[in-house]
Amino acid sequence: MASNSALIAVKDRGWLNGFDNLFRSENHHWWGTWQWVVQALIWMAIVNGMLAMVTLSASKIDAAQASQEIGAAEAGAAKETLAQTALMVFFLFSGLAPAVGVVIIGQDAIIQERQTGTIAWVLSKPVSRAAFLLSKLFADALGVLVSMVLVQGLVAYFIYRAGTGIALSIPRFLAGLGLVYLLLLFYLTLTLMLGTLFRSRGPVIGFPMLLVFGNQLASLAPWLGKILPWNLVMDLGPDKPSLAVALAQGQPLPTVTPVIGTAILTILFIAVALWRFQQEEF
Amino acid sequence: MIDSPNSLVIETKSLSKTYKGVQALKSLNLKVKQHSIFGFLGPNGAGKTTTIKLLLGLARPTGGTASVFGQDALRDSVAIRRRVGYLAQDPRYYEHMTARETLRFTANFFFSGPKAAIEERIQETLGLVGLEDKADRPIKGFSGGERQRLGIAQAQINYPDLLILDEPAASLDPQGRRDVLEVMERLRKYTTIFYSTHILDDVQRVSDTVAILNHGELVAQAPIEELLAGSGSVVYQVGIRGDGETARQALASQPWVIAATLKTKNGTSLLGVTVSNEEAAETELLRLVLADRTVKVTEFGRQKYDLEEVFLNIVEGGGNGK
Repeated sequence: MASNSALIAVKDRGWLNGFDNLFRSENHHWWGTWQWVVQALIWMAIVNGMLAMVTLSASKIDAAQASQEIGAAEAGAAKETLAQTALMVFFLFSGLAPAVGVVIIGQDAIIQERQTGTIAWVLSKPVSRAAFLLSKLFADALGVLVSMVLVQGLVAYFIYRAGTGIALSIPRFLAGLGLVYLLLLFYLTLTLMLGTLFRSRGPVIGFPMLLVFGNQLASLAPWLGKILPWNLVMDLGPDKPSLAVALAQGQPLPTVTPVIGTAILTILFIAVALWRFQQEEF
Repeated sequence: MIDSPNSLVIETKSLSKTYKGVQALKSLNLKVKQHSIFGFLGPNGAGKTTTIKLLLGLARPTGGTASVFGQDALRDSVAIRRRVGYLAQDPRYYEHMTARETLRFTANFFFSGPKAAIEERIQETLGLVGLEDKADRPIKGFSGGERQRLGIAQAQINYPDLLILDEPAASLDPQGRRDVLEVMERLRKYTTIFYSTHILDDVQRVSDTVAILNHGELVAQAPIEELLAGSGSVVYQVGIRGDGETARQALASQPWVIAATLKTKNGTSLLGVTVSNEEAAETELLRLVLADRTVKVTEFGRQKYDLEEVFLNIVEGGGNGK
């Protein structure tokens, strides 16, 4: 049996011991398989499918104008409304639909490994618990960013341009997408945190799903609307577009409280997950 | 670092663990020397796996301390795990990976390169456990024995200073058990092996030191020879043909004899003589028996205990192994 002298030992990285290897392995689930393509196609069908359906109405407006059913001024106003609606639909569906996917992906991260017993195996190696958790978070966050936000945004930009004839400012559109990503990170970290707190999938999936579709709760407790991410992609009220739409159109933000609230809660979820996972016994 | 062969690799002091009000481990004091094959025995639920999890930092003690390589098992857990290989009782891996990928994944926690040397190590370890021909098959098709062998391979991939094996042969057929024990014997000169088991034959075959745990308490810890020889009073056994009662009475009257018993079965008798003075016994005992001309001695020797006997005496009788 040879010795270890021919091999280079992994450097001690303190609380990130084992992160590189775990992150590589987690990334392989996304990029070494078809997962990112499958995810991108699912959300493209839903998010950009909806956007395409809305923008197709533009041709009807053109046809009505051509047959002189409506005048040029009417057609212009209709197109403006259509452009506004298309942007609203895109950001709304970008936030809501992939959020469901994020919850499903996130709930598996801890629960499945705990149930199959692979957590104990991995943690018997020179791996810090923080590295285990963060490798999953970062890999999923990267996968979500590419397949659920950037790819969808790129396709949407061209559909929107083709349908409405409006070329959005790229930095502003990216800023709007940034809010969508913040919302998805909120659900990802929430699900991950719940995975460290509960041993069954029910609450880990159920609670985030309640929040995804629970914007009506804001009517019961308006302060929830101020700190939760709903208004990042949902209209604040009649003639008050969502923060993502406002950003994409270059309008001044009516409030930044939901952005700050969502960011703080996201960081809090990570902190609680790290603390809880540190306490856990396997 | 540990240099002296008598250095302790594992040391626990009053190590305790309570789960939801149930005391799984009660004030365990354990000492495991370097390069020993240390058999950690006990019935199911005795606290063996709990002890292992505490040593690896997978669980937190509720009392006492544990040190591995002189480092605190909780505070220095990652540093300890760099030098440890662990095989769980019911080993679980990522099912989509092949054996080779599993070993590569494991090796990358310890080594950053060179790639060729890591691959060489993986191949060598696959050879050690006889999995070369199945190296590139997904684990989900592996049998229990193959999984166990992969478990030993992944535990050995970093050439650890300490191998912790939790019931390494429990789920194996006789051939698989033999293979695992052979691997353990082969590794003895390179590493210290701490393994839990309830298969007593295996312990007797490969261990040099044994600890017996029962209901979370350490009830015996000794070199295996010492444990098998028994402790406290020495017992000699004399097999005789003929009526041994006269001999028994003659022995019972000796001041160095604590007790003399006679059991007869199928025409042969077995005299069991518990003595307080070994030298007197070795000089006088046989002469006193042979003084009775009607008996013939068929065997004579100091009583050796079977590990199963020792174990059952301790576990069921609450005694000290005798």
